Parts: sequence; C-alpha cells; structure tokens
Amino acid sequence: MNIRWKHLLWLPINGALAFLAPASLLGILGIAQGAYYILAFIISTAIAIYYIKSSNYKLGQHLKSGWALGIIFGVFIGLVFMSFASVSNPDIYREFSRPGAAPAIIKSVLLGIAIAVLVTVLPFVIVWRAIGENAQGRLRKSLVAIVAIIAVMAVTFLYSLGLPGSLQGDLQANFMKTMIAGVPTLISGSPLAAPISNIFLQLSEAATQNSNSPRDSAEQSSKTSSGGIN
Amino acid sequence: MSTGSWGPGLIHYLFLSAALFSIGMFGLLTRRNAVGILMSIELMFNAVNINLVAFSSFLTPQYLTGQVFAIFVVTIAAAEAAVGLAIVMLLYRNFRGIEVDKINFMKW
Repeated sequence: MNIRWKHLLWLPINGALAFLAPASLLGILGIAQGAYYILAFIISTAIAIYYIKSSNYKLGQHLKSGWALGIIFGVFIGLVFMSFASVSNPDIYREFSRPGAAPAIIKSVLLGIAIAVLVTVLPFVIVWRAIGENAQGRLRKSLVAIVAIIAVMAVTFLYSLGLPGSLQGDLQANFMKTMIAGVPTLISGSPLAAPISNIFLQLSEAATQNSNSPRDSAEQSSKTSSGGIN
Repeated sequence: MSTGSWGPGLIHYLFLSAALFSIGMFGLLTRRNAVGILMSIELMFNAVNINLVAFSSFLTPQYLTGQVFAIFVVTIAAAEAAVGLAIVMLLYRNFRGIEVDKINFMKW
C-alpha cells in the first residue's frame, strides 16, 4: 500500500489542536462561552484552510462525491439526537421558539461546524488522502476504513479529554456523543455529513441545558457539556 | 396507540419518523423525476404527521391537538399534490418529459 507520510504527519497536529483548543481556552484561560465558540470556529477553519492550501486538496471534488448520502445520514443521526433530547425533556421545543433564541442557534451552528471539522472531517480526509486514494480491492479499502475510524476515535478522544468536566466523569458521554455525530462521515465518506449531525447535537445540547436551568440564570451559566453552549 | 410497557414508546415513533424524513429527503435530493420528487415530499409530510400524533398521544393524551394538526397537514399535502401534478402535466405537454434537470427555462 502506497502511504503518503507527509499527509499522516498532519494527524498529530490535528490531535494536539483538538485537545488544546478546549483545554486551554475553557480549562486554563477560562474564557466565556461566547468567545470560545468564535475562537473554536476560527481555529478549525484556519487549520482546514491551511491544510487545503498546503496539500492541494480538491475540496469541491470531494464534496461532490456522495453528497446526497452524506446529507441524509447527517440529518438522520441529527434527528436521532433531537429525538433523545425531546424524549428526555419534551419542553425543549420551547427553547427554539422563545424570543432571543437566535444567538443560541447561531452559536450551536458555529460550534457544530467547528467540532465536526476538527475532530471528524480533518482526520478522515487526512487518512483518506494518505492511504485511501489509491487503494484497490475490498481488503485494502476495508483497511483504510478501519484506519480512518481509529484516527477519528483518537482525535475525538483527545478533544473529549480537553473539555472541562471530562476528568469528573463526563469523558465517556462526551466521547460517545461526538463519535456518534462523526459516524455519518465515516459511513458515507462525505465531509458534509459530520457538520450536519454535529449542528443537531449542539442544538439539542443547548436546548437541554437551557430548559434544565432556570431562565434567569441560563444566560450567565458557563457550564458546558460535549462542547455544548448555553 | 399503546403507551404501556408492551407497546412501542415515543422514541420508537420518533426514530420511525426520522427514518421516513431522511428517506424522503434522499428522494428529494436525488430523484430527477418530478412525480418522484412529489412522492418524496409526501413522505416527509407523513414523517411530520407521525411526530405530531406521537407527541400528542404520549404527552397530552387527553387532547387531540396533534391529531387535528395532522389532519390539517394531510389536507395541505393533498392540495399541494393536486397543484404539483397539474404543473407536472403542463411540463409534460411542453417538454415531452418530466425530468426536472431538463426543465431550466426559468434559469437566467
């Protein structure tokens, strides 16, 4: 199998960034949630653009392949997240209809895209470009898929470890949620899928947290779950 | 609709609805045939109906709000199908086909 090592070298950089972004911004610096989602979005966009430019990655070509399946899987997994959230607390739909819900929705969208790009799309694309582009035969393609899953799991684990509260017992829940949100991209191979499911995940997290906390303290609360926002 | 421990719970109906909605959306995005697109939209409407009835039955069984909303949606869907099929017939008369990618006369 022809391995392009210069692509694989991006994986440790990606993993380090996925761990350091939440750990340093939320854990060490303790910045506000509003600033965190903007900075996370900027960081993930910057690394994605830098990777695309430096490695001549044809993003448009990759987006065109399997885009419909990617959207469907992303929407389906996203709806599953919303279903679980609405069963655990049926009143969460009120969170999307109350006045002033728009900023929370925008935050969820930005954070969902940022997390998906950082922990799912980038590792998947790196592995696919390093060993998957020229892979022939079912066995080799299966091997590429396994390596991609391991890479995404490793980066997702590092990201979950960096989130505040992970050492207090939230690690497994954060890891599972973020990993499940990355499954659509792993199945369909489309970079569009994981951002869609992650947006739904963040929306359900934000709505659940807001509906669980008193309305007057919701704006001031700075607790986070799965990188979720208030 | 059973709400006991033997019957399906709310989450099962929501999963069914999510699957139906996703299948409908897949058809909407990939079908070239105008009638197929209309059928996919109907599938998505039905997914919404399942959600409405399931939530109403499980959360407020004493009211029929969700069921009444579902009847409204069915009515709207019927009207939409009638208008859609009329448009499809007109397209067939003009273009001798209902492949939507060939119909681009509104494209500037």
